[in-house]
Formats: sequence, structure tokens, C-alpha cells
Amino acid sequence: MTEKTGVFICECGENIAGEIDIDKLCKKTGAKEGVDEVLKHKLLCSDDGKKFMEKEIREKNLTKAVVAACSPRQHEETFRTVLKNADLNPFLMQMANIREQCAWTVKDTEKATEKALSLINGAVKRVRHHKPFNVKEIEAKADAMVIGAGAAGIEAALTLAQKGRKVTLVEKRPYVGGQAALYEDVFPGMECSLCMLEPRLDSVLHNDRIEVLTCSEIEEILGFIGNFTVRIRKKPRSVEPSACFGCTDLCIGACPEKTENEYDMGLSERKAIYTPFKGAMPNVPLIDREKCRHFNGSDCSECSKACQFGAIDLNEKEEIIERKPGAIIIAAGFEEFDCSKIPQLGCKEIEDVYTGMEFERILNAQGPTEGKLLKKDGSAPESAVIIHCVGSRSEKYNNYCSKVCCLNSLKFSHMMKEKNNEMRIKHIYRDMTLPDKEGQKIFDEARENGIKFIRVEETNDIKIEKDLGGIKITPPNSDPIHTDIVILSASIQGNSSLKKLSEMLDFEITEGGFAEELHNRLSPVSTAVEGIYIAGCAQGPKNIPEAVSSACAAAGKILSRLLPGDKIKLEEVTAQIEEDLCSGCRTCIQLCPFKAISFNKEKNISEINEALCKGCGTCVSGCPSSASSSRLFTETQISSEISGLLEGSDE
Amino acid sequence: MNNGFTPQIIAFLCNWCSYAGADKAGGRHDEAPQGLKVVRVMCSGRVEPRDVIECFTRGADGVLILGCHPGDCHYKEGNHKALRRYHLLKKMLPQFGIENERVKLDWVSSNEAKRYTEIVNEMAKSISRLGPFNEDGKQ
Repeated sequence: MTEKTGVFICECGENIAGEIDIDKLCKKTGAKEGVDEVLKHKLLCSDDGKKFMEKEIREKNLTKAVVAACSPRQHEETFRTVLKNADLNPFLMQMANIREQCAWTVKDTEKATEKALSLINGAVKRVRHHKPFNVKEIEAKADAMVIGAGAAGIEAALTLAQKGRKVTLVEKRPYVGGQAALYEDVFPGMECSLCMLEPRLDSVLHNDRIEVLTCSEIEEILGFIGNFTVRIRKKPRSVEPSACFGCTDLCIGACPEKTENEYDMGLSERKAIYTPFKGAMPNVPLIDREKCRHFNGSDCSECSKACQFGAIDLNEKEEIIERKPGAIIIAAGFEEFDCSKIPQLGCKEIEDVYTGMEFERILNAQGPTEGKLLKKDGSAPESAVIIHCVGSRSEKYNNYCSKVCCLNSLKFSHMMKEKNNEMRIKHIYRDMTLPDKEGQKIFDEARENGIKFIRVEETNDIKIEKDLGGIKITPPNSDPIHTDIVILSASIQGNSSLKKLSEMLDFEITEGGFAEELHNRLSPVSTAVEGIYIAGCAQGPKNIPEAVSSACAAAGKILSRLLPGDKIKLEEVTAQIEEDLCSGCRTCIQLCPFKAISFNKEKNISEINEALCKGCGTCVSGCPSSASSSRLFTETQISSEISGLLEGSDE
Repeated sequence: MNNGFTPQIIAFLCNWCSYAGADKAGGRHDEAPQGLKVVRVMCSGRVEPRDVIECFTRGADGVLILGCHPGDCHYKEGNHKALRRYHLLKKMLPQFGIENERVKLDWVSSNEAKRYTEIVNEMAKSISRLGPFNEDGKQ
């Protein structure tokens, strides 16, 4: 079939016709090589205009179309649809932007007409090389995986499950609830944290659609949106949950081995068989095989003997479990800044100097002191100093504000006052971050309760020393302050497991070890990898409501992007590599920002995964042998457009 | 300034930032150079040095490459790749007898209509000062 190209010129009311001599343009366009028909219309994007265009394409048997009108960013899709309705492949069309690029920006009618002609000529020469293609669609699974079972991960899993999606919730720790489950109270309402979380934890553990894998870590993630394959290393709990009644006293009581309890930040001891804290869910103990005598050369099986239900399983093996989710939410949470990186603060060196997380446990009724505020020597402290911004807002450490620690510090002083109203409490701070509706109120209440606030230039330069009968704090250029206990309100940073995940998935890690979002304002829960979303503190410092909101947002992304049974459309513009031309140099692999290109060792060529390709064309311009080409932006198309635009300019 | 000389400038604009910025400049009816011809690409990282050289062999007097500001690239870092290639291209240009000033890379975001207009007009002025590009290198 011979090609027949029609140029449709839109007058756009007076927008184009007022500045360009349309009749002259039509006449001159008709004289251009490669133009078979020229058709004008008052307003091509109107219903009448679209019908006109469709009818003309059919009647004149056009095989290619150029639309000289407005910006393709405005109406490319409109005119592609017209082509489709006229039974032409939608990509056999090219727009010439004679409005924004010409009528509106060139003042003289003659000059504007002349420029419009060359813009049309560029499109005519280009469209000649357009080939029909269909946007690819791929099968996609609608089920999801959530990594991390903290406040955010739980919310994401429940939201997805509510809409019928199956969810695998993977948690590294032996319990669900994350960091928030370790707190006694949470701001702003000073509500009991575990009481607040428990109903949600219970729902997540008893939901048919949610598979909860505790003591489990991600080993490998392969694939792309709709088609991920995840391998999970599930460590043995060594206690069979279906047989265990959660009495916990007998087996734990029988265990002869003691070690530091990491869930009390090392402030208490636990047995080798243990529950992280009282009330941890699932309420099933686990055996720490690194510490358990049975796994370290002894034949001890005291716990097993003590259990009346035969729940202890010393033979349980580590498993590698494979799941195939369509999308993944990373809710790996945060870690506290390691305060011992600032030696003069005396963290872990000086008695009664606590980090924020340690102090959460001190205040916790299930914690090392059962919630009693006691100094290491067993006496009750009469004074406390809370130091803000430890490891925060400093180029030496984490150079950002963690946003939640000021209010959390105010929570500490509130809780101490509740325990002993006579306590003298001071906050040493740089600036007070009091966001949201309740922030200011909490601060005002603290001042009314006689809590003192001392402003200093830099809290990271404070010196803390042991002093006779207490602790001496010396802020830079200030008089020393004496106190009984010190709390270091430390910066929060991304969980260290994010780094490993980022390497598997190729999303970036930002300062502070957080996962980088696709766009920090408009796509805060998406990553650059389609189908991988982030929720909670994995993305940046957040309080609980913010973490929960981001989890709902991430779940929402999955619910709208992946529908059961639906295929997903890939990008229109993607790159392809021509096998015969590829020399296997792998330049493109390094250039691709989306890890869409991999190397096929057998064929010795690079291959593009079109499901991952976003069509930027960076690989195309980087390929030394022109093996890579970008659909709709091929070398021939671009070069023909250039020559069309410049035709006659030499004369 | 050469009388009667309309510099032919090809401007490669990335779809997401610069082309959108140009659309806004059009919406403001900002006057743009008569000889400015825009080629839309998805990303400034798609622009090949060869494309730039070809513009000159086809009659262009200047070439502009406009992308998203660093850090704002729709494709994460395509504009960084464009910048790297631009530096290499700059080294090659004299070997083709093309003055360095005839090729320029810059960043225009989608809401920088004014900046877009300034850049394209400044480019036209600077090319006008240089005069038409002659393949033989004779000005």
C-alpha cells in the first residue's frame, strides 16, 4: 500500500488563525514533498473537528497524519484516539506545535507563517518513518508483600487485605508492632502504646488474607511490577505456634542460659528461650540459637522437658520461602542514631545516661525496672536533663531534623513528672520543633508544669561527665548543670536493612539511610522502581499518624495500579536492542537509571526488560553501535525531523 | 549583528520540564526567535552528540539542549548523562570547525517560562553576533 500523508491544520479559533496566514500556509504545505492532502479546521480538538479528521482520514485513505495545532503535551492523546477511531495505528501521527512554538511567539504574520511551514515540514519528514506498534501489556499479580510489621507495615497490610488482596507480611523481629510496641506511651495524647496497637496487631495476626512471617528476612528480590519473585529466609522460632499456649513461664523458667535483652536495649537480661517483652505478639516464645546451650554443644533440653504441650521444636529447620507478589511495600522502619559516635556525651560509659530508646524501656511497665524510675544505684532520681538534637542537624552526623524527637522529649518530661511531680527537669535544646495541632499545647503544658528549657547553640558539643553523686553537663560557653539522670534525644535514621533492599531493588538511599522516593513532593510513597513503594520511617522521619497515612497511600497505589485479572500497560516509548547490532559492550547497562537492561551471557548481548524501561532513551544515545533504539524517537525519526525543520534554511 | 540574518537554532527540549516550560512561555505570548525550531525528546539524555553535529550539517547555526534541573529529572539522572556528553561534545566541536558558543546546554523547569524565553533569546543574540555557521569554517 502506498503511503498517503495528510496534514491537518488547526486554526484554534483565532489563536492560530489570528497570527498565521492559514490559506497561504495550506497552499505552501501542499507543495511540500511528501504531503498528499492538506485539510484545515476551525478547532480540531472539538467534537466536530475530531469527526472531521476521522472522516477525512477514511475518505482520503490516509495512512499517516500530521496535526499542526497546539502542544503535543495538550492534545497528542486526543489525536491519537482519532487515528484509532479511523482504524489507523495511533502512532502514525506527529504533531507540529504551531501555536505555542509559533503563532503565540512570532509577532509578524509573514514570519510566523514561514516558521509554521518549517515546523510542519519537520513533522511531515518525521512521520514518514513512524511505524505502527501496539503498547505492550503484561500479566500482573495483584497480591502484595509488605516488608516490616511496624505501625506502617501493619496498616498497609490491613488496608490491602480489606480489599481482598493477599498479603505476605515479612518481619525480621519475632513480634509484630515494631518500635512503637516498645514504648509505654505515645504523644500527643500520652496514650498507652501497646493498648493502642493491640487491636491492630490482633487483626493482622488473625486475618485469613495476611500471612505473617516473623523472624524472617528478605534474601532476594527478582522481577518487576506485577511479577516479583521474593525469596525469604525464615529462621526457626523453635517453638510451634499452634501447640504453644503462651504460658511462657515454664519453658523460660527452665532455661539455664542468660544473655542481654536487645529489646530492652541491653538494660535487662533474658533467657535463651524468651519473649521480647510481656505482651509481645504473637505470644509465642522463641529460642535464640546463638545462645541456647542445646545448639552450642550441650544436650540441654530443659525447656522442652518443661513444656507440657510439646510445643518446643528443637529440630525446626531454617527455611527459604518463595512468594510472588505483584507489588512490594517497604516499611522497614527506623533506627536510633548511635549516640556513642559522640564520645563526650558519655553514652554507654557513664551510668544513668540513657538514649531515647533506652529511656522508653525504663519508663515501660514491662521494661527492665518495670516502669519504676530508678538510678543504677537503686535510688530515685530527683533531677533529669533531656538533651535534644543528638546526632541531628549537624554536618558531622545526620544533617536533618528528625521532626519527632522534640515532642517525644516532651513526652519523657511529662511521664517523669507523672511519676514524681517534685522532679526537676530541664531540656537543653537548639530549636524546638513543635509541629501539628497538638505540638504547641504540649510545650506550653510542660512550661506550666515548671519544666525548664535552656537554649544552646549546639547540643552535639555538650560535654557530659561523672560528678560526685551525679552527672555534670557542660554546654559550650555555658555554666555546668548538675543532674541525676540524662536522656539523649537522638536523631532517627533509616533501618540498616534498607541498604540491602536498595541493592536488591536499585532504589537510592538518601542521607540518614532512608529510601529515596520517586518525587519528594508528588510521589512520596513511590520509588523509582515501579511496583516498589515505601511507607513509614523507611522514607524519612515520621510520627505514628504520618507513618500510618503513608502506609495507606502506598496500599492505595497498589490497589489502583494492580487490579485482579487486569493486565498492565507498559510505557509507550520504550527502547529495544537489535541483537545483530549489539556488541555486548554493556555501556547501556550502566547508563540505564531503571536497571531495565541486563546482560545475556549466552548470546553475549544486552537485553531490555520492557516492563522496567521508562523510555528516556539514554541508552540509545549511549550505544556505540546504534543497537539500541527508542520507539517514537529513533535516530531516523529525529534526524528526519531536524532536516525537515532546517530545509531551505541554507538558501 | 548581521543584517537580515535569522539564526537557525535547533533546541532539543525534554518532554517533562523544558518542553513544558516552553509551552508556558508560549502561553504568555513571550516573543521567541523566528529561527528557533524545537525538537521534543523524552529526556535530554536522549540527545546524541551526533544529532548535534548533524544539525550543523543540515544548516543550523546553533544548538540548544534544555533539560530538567539536576535532581529533578523525570528519569532520575538522564540530565546528568546529558551533561557528561555535553562536556565531551564541547571538546569535539572545534575539530568539526564549530565554535563552542554555538552549542549550549541549560536547565529549564516546567514553570520557568521566563527563564526559557531569556535563554532562547540570549542564544539567538549570541549566534547573531557569531554570524551564520559555514561548514568550511569560513565566516
